Amino acid sequence: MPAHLVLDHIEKEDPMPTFEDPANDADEAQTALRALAHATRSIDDPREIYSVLGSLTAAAASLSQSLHQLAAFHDGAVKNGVWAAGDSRAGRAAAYQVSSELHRAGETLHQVAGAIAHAHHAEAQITYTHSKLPTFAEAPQRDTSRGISL
Amino acid sequence: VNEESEATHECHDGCAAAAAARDALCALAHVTGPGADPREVYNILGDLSAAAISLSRTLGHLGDRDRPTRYTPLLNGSEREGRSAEFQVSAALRRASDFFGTARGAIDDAREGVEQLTYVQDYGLTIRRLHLVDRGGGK
Repeated sequence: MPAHLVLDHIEKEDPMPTFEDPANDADEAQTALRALAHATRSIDDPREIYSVLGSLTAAAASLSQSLHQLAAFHDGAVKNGVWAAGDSRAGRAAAYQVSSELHRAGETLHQVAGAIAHAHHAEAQITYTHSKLPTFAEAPQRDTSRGISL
Repeated sequence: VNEESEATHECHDGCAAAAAARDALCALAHVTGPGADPREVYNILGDLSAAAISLSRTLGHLGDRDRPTRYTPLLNGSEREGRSAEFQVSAALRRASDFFGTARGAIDDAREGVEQLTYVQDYGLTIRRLHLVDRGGGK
């Protein structure tokens, strides 16, 4: 599907976050990121990259925050008292395992955000000039009557 | 060489899609805080795993500067320095893209762990907490 059709799809969706339905918000985020991957397949103008990288730095930071928050729930699942991830020893062990993996993913995303921010900073220093594509020089007239020679 | 003014440049598909993704992930970060229903974590992690793949692809696309383009990068008026800076951007984005393999593996492992968990609403602990508050503030 061409990128402009994907963009139409994004603009027609409700831009307001629900603030109450994490599963729906996660689904919307995943859809938006898939559309972004599609749109960036054919970026012809490199001047767009700076703006895209700015958004991606914030996006990666938010993703890192979400992962740490989901991990934090499992950190304190037993202590919080409102929700408990099972009351068995195995349940607690599984909860801590989940917490550990999510914190690891969150920390990795933090590194990703840093790398994108570095790229964003480097991109800021570049200016682009628009040039015509080189044209082929006109081939010299050849006299074919004498055959082909090297 | 035709100079094109920066002022006439407008960002289209890529910028709008990136802004939409940024806003969606910001909204998600707001709702995954305290008070979220943990029974939704399994589905959320499934979406985040897929999101990691898409983000990795996006960074790969942005880091690919080998495609033919009508634009010449310049830094301090020098094309050579411009190409060097462009290479730095490309390397940083590819490094970021590589990180996603680790992140996605961790998310998938966490999701497998979540599958084994049963979340229960622990009313007993909540009541004990209220009781402690009452005693502490009592006469």
